[in-house]
Amino acid sequence: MRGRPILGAISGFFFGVFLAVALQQWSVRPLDNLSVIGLPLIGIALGLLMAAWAPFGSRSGEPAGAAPPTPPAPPPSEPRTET
Amino acid sequence: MKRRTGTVDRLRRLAVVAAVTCAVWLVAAPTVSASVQGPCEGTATIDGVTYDPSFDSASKPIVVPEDRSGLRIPYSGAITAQNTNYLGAVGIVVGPVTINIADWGLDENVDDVRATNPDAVYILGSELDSIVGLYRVTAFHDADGGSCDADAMVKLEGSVMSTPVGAGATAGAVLAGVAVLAAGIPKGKKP
Repeated sequence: MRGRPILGAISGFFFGVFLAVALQQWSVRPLDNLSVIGLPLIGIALGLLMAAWAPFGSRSGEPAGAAPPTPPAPPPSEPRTET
Repeated sequence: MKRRTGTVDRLRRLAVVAAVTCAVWLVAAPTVSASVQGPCEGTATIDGVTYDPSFDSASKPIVVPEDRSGLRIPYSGAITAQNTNYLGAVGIVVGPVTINIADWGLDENVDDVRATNPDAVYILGSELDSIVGLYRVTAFHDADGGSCDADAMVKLEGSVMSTPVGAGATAGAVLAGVAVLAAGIPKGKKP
């Protein structure tokens, strides 16, 4: 997981719960088994998938969790001249 | 290696699309339709519209207007079987639970009356003033001659954002949705 799976699962659960109630309030769908149980489960799955995908904050072609590039090596020091 | 990473990314995108598709299907799928089962029938008239048991789906609900306090609802009901020793109840479905909102107790009904009074009118109080949304209502009536089960979809009209539940649920869904998106920010970066 490159993203934040715990945040994804918890927020996905609450997203599903609030969405079920909001859909009922907006008269789209009543609070039946599918919306009360199904939407929170889908929310959890969506949050975990979002954490696994982690599409934000990474440049194209670069894995999001990749280590930052190592700084270039310093130029070789000039040989000391002993006097 | 790069090709493999691209394939994994495509699979992840596909999984997210599948989850969203499931959610859309869940929302768009028609709810269970039932109407009346058993030897019963009934109608109610609200705002000039007569509702019968066919009004049992989210797309065809029984509509209760926003200005409903004191609304007069003429209704009629009948059972074609013996109606002695009856009892019944009405409840609202909330997920796997049905909340009982009204019942009629065991009545011997020795005269076997099988229909409501022709002039029966239900006057709605103010108890539903602050409630809006779509509700699935179930009812049953048991008597010696048989039993009936009924389902109906009731839509209480009104301003959703003016009720605490409506405003809270809408705001909560938006905030939780933002948090779901924030879960897609890689660890080590500030969300």
